[in-house]
Amino acid sequence: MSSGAAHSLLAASFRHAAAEPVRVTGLGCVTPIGHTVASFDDALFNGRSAVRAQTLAIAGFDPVELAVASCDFDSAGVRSSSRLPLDRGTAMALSAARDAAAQAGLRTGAVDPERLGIFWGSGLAGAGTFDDTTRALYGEQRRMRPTTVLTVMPNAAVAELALQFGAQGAALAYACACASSAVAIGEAMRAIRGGWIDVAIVGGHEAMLTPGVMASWHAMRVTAPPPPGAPERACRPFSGDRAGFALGEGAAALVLESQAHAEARGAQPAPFVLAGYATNCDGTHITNPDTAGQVRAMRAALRDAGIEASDIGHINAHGTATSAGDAAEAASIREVFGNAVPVSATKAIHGHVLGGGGAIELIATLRALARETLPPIANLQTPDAAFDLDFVRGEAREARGIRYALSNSFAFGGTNAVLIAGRVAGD
Amino acid sequence: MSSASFSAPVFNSIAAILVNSFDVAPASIAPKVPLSELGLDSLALMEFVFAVEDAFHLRLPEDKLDPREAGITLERLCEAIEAQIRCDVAPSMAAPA
Repeated sequence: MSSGAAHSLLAASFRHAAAEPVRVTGLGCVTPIGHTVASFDDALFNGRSAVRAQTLAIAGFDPVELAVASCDFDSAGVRSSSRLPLDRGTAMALSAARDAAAQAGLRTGAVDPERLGIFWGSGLAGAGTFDDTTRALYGEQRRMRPTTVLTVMPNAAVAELALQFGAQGAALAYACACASSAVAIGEAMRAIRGGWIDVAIVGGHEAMLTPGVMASWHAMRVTAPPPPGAPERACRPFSGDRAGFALGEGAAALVLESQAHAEARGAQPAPFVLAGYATNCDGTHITNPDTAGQVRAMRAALRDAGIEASDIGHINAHGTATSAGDAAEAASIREVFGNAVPVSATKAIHGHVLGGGGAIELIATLRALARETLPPIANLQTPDAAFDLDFVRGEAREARGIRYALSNSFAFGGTNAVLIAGRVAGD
Repeated sequence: MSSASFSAPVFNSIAAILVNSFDVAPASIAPKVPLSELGLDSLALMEFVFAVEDAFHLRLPEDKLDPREAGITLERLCEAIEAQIRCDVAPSMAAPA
């Protein structure tokens, strides 16, 4: 086959993709800023931070004050299908996914089980349970439970979701640190476009606010100290005085569905689609982000969506508020979009939810499209003078007629994932 | 239950564990009910026995009670718990300081 023929086949597949948009038919979340879309919106558009100070006290070490965004969530109230104990993160995943499925109207019989997939991301998955159980094993001589392996395995949440929803299509766990859930969502979109499945329950979670995991993050020197008397101001994305992120926890789930399937079952979803996705790897350094890699990822996502940079009306940045992270991202956004597209960053209010962050931030991006309003970057008073971008500061900004928004997720290990959400014309 | 060889508190404690931690309906819990009819699979049964052992601060040797063995009832589990409590307590009673 000539390269020209190959190219036209590729172009044909893109046209097919454009003709068969992947709908977002349900949302659900368990986050530090809310467990319902209404409470999530309230904090998001008012820039209200859930970050608090928490003392990390481990015997033999000086106590450390950390900035943390935790969820008001009782995992004991969530039952597994098999009545086995759940990791806190899996319980959050289950709760968020049930809400998303309910919103999508995914009742039993609504989907052929073999055409239903689970695509889920988590960076450290059962690390919280493993930290708790090994601490009890070594410190208190308490036995490991018979189900510890099943609780901490990286696909624990995937397995539980597949059981809960009777999914018999692909059930896959993605682990690429801070990009995990964004990759899971994007790969599900590809599976639906490719015709492998019709519906996917997608998203991600992280529940890592246990002593050993928090100490590990603190040791990396990427977490922000809580300012005395104002811990909610710990994370300041793109600010000249940024000092790192606040550790968060939570889960977010979406139901993705082919347009044809949604129509056939008579669903009346909100008018939103997942329009584009790209992932790549910097391949340069395990932690230092690379602007060139991020630029390639954003441009590839635009091509995938079949749109131009000028079609994007909002960017929800990865915005970790680390010195190197924000500098690289500000430069890559500037290179692809110039300074014309408004930029938000929401980790300031819900913390860094690691593997769950991409899904939570995609929900924030979809809510911005839904409300035609862009969330402010909380705690950003004076942007870094080196960043020439249009940051949404102070108050939420109106964005009437917005069609597309882009959400970045950039990970340790160099994985970049970019998702583009869109509003369906005419709906 | 006048002939029961176990006490009501022991039975009530394990019934509470079944209801609160394993979602077993209270109506389906009775002394003569085999463990295999509680709706728990083998893994969940192992978790249940672990939880019972932790609650009573004891270990039930598998040669005395294997929860996977067919026909073992809640009554039999209670008896094994009480036997183990007596067993654990006996040495200190036999050798007062």
